[in-house]
Amino acid sequence: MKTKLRLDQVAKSYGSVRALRPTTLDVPEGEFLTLLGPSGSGKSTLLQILAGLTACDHGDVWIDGRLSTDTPPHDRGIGLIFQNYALFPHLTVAQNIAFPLEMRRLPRAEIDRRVARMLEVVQLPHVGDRLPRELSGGQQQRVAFARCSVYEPSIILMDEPLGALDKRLRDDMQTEIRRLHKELGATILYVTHDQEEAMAMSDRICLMNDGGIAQLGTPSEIYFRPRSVFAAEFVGHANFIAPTPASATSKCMVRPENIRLLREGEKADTVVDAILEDTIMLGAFSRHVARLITGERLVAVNWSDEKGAPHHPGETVRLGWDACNTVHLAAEVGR
Amino acid sequence: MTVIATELPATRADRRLLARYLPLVPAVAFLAIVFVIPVAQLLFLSFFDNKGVPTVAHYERLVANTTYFQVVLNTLSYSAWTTLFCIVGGYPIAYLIATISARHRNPLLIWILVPLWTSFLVRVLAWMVILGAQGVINRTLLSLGLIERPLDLIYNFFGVMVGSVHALMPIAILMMLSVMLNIDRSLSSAASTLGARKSMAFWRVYFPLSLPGVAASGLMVFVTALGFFIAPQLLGSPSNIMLAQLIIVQLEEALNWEFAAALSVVLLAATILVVVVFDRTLGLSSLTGEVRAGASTRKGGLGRLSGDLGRQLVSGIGWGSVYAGMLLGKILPYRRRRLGEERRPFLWILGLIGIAFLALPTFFLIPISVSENRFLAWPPEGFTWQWYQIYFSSAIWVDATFRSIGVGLATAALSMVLGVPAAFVLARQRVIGKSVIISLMLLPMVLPHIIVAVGLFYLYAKVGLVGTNIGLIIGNTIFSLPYVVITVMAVLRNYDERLDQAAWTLGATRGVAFRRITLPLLKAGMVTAFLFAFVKAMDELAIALFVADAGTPLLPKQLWQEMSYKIDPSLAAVSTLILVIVGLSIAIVQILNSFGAKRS
Ligand SMILES: Nc1ncnc2c1ncn2[C@@H]1O[C@H](COP(=O)(O)OP(=O)(O)OP(=O)(O)O)[C@@H](O)[C@H]1O
Ligand SMILES: [Mg+2]
Repeated sequence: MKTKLRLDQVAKSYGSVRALRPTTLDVPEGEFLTLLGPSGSGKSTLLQILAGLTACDHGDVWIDGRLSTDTPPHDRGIGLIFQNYALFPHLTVAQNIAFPLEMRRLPRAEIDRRVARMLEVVQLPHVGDRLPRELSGGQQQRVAFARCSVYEPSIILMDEPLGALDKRLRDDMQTEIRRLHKELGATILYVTHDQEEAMAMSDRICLMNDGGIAQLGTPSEIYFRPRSVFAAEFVGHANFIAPTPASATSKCMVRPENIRLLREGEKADTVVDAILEDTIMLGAFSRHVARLITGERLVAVNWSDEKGAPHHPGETVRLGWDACNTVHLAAEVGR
Repeated sequence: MTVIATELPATRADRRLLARYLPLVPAVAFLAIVFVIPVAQLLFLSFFDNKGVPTVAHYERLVANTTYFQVVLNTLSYSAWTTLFCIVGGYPIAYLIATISARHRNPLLIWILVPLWTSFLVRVLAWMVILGAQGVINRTLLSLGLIERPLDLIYNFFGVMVGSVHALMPIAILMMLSVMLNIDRSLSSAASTLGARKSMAFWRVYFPLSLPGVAASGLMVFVTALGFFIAPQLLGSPSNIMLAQLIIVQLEEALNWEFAAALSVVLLAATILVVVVFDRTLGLSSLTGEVRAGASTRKGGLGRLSGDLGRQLVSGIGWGSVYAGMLLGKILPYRRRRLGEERRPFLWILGLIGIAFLALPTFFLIPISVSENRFLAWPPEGFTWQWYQIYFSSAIWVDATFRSIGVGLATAALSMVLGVPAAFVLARQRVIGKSVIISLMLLPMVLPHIIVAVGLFYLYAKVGLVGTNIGLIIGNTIFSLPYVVITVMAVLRNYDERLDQAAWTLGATRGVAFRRITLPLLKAGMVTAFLFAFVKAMDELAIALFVADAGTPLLPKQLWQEMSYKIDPSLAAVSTLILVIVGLSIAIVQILNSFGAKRS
């Protein structure tokens, strides 16, 4: 597939703060890529550089195969949804959405038609005459989306667009954004620090840490095959176990759902004895916390089993997992 | 039982209500007694002749004689021109200061504050030194051989405009700045990602959002200029006088108080008309920096039509500047600019010229004050302390200085006592009629000082307060109070009340929280408010002219009289001393501010 966006050794510092260390990233056309990472890891900086709002110190930005490092934002044809939406407070919703079309000198009738259609798409046909501050947070978010996609940019960047919304609205908007992604066929770069959101929406996740890319891959690669302790810990829960002497790795990791509470006579590649500290029934699953003799704690998440004997804190249990579920993590390379 | 049960909550609610309004009472009562009543009385007086018989003769005289009509027209056109120049000249400066990095903002801002805090009279004197026939400009041009005879730069419309714009531009800049600083920067970024070029983003997004500030400062300048008499009197031509000057003539020379009152009514009517029109269209609350963005888009009919027209206009200007920029790019040797390189040379040139215009003139007084030449002529000759000696050996100057400082300090203290509690309530509580109360507090700032001073003079004449320090302090407080209220309200608006709440939840009583958290955080703002009030009081000429008498000399009055009759370098010496006092005040504020910033 065609490469839509390319960052080539792009770096940015604010004084002594290295917001982005030299970073290389290719995004194919039509992909939904999520930037996921803790606060201050450089996600917004990366988006700002792509949009042309911040100049990078080193490296180059390529858009659609063209060198665009010094292209001003208004010539990039990239849509950006700001974290606080940045709707123009002195313009009505319809005027806000018409703005990018006016900048492109479209005929008035065409502008009106497209604005009306876009308001339908985001399911806000009646608010065209209102001012942004007369809308709820979720409605404002949708207007921001409409304003940014009405001129059909082929690339849309979103900086934590759902950060301010409640859980239910978030779920709705996630579906909405996925739908619009399919409908418009745009390439989307999406920033979040919510790992579930990242898992649910993305084709690929770009995990960021400390101004650099920690790992890039599909959600399941990131989850099941993390390559560093950071990646393993940031996404889902990680049980760290001592590596076998034969392996050259520094640490091994097993996901909770791959550790089984073994019944009498059941076998596994690795078996350890542990003292059960706590069991929580979560419905379909039960979460067990157990302590090894060495003092380490392991968390196991298994299917809830109504018929099996109930477990009580304090009892000794056998935990087991298979070699294929053990992930060997590379030693943290010096940063 | 039931009776008690129903009464108890009511009394408690009453008490709480009382507690909420109580801090407003002193300030409102003060203004009612010494501001509203005297001004109302003045209006009343204009309908009587000098024997106390009701008559409209004064107004007939006003209408019958076209000279007076001419004076009113003069005053209006003078105010309009002053407003135009202040806005057009001030906008780029405010925009520059609002959009540079916070680190560079304060150094530029200082050069706006220095003239704002410098006495009007001192600044007018500086322009006399610069524009006069023997002044800096003429002497320089003559010595360069560019002109053969001195240009007429003073005692005409040009001189008045320069002096007035210099006097009123700083406040215009600050009012525009307070709105501009509240404009979200990401809006301009958003516009540019949506396809707007820099100039387009400015005209379509930034400029409309800054308009409330433009309107507020326009009102402020226009209304202040209506009652301004210092620059017209000292820098203008005697044949072209303003309404306020006419009032003074009637009072001091013709001794026709009733006719002066009628003239004041005309001036007041013009002022109120402007304020009401402004309030109708934009709301007086924008004076305190509260932006009502998009107010015009919400109105039907005419409002909407004019809103649409305005948008078309602004859009047209935007496209015009976009194409002009492209054309310029074609003509000039064009180097592809790197992204993020933002130099804005035109804005910087405009801004720095404006700032130089505001900040530099007063400094010309310093060399003049030690010059041996006795006619304020440029360049200074030799070196002498004699003008300072004259000042220090003159009982009247020394007396005036000490009295002015004393009255100024007392005024600032009284303004704080009245203004700070009121500002707390107005900034934080929901009170009924808040906008009316705020308007009342700000009204002295926009009404011509001379009207208030004359009204106060009539009142004082009855109760024997003319020429007393108490009378002066009260009079000055009327004008210093709005500055205290505005400053403290602005500081409180930026103050996060959750800090107090956090302190309460952490176990501090209200009193302790106020002492340990609120007060330290607000200290710099309070000091600024105090100094503002002090400086305004030191500079208040209208009160000094009409409320002080011969036995109570005051600095502004003394300066005014000497500047009107004989001008010599001892005035420059006095001005230099005033500059030193103001400079020290600003230095104190800066030190306190940076101290506060370091601690927080
Ligand atoms: N304008 C700026 N000036 C100075 N430092 C900055 C600026 N913008 C960002 N930084 C610094 O750069 C680093 C990366 O910031 P960035 O905003 O990209 O993080 P982020 O991943 O978006 O974080 P968050 O999830 O909190 O939004 C941070 O350490 C931040 O303090
Ligand atoms: Mg961010």
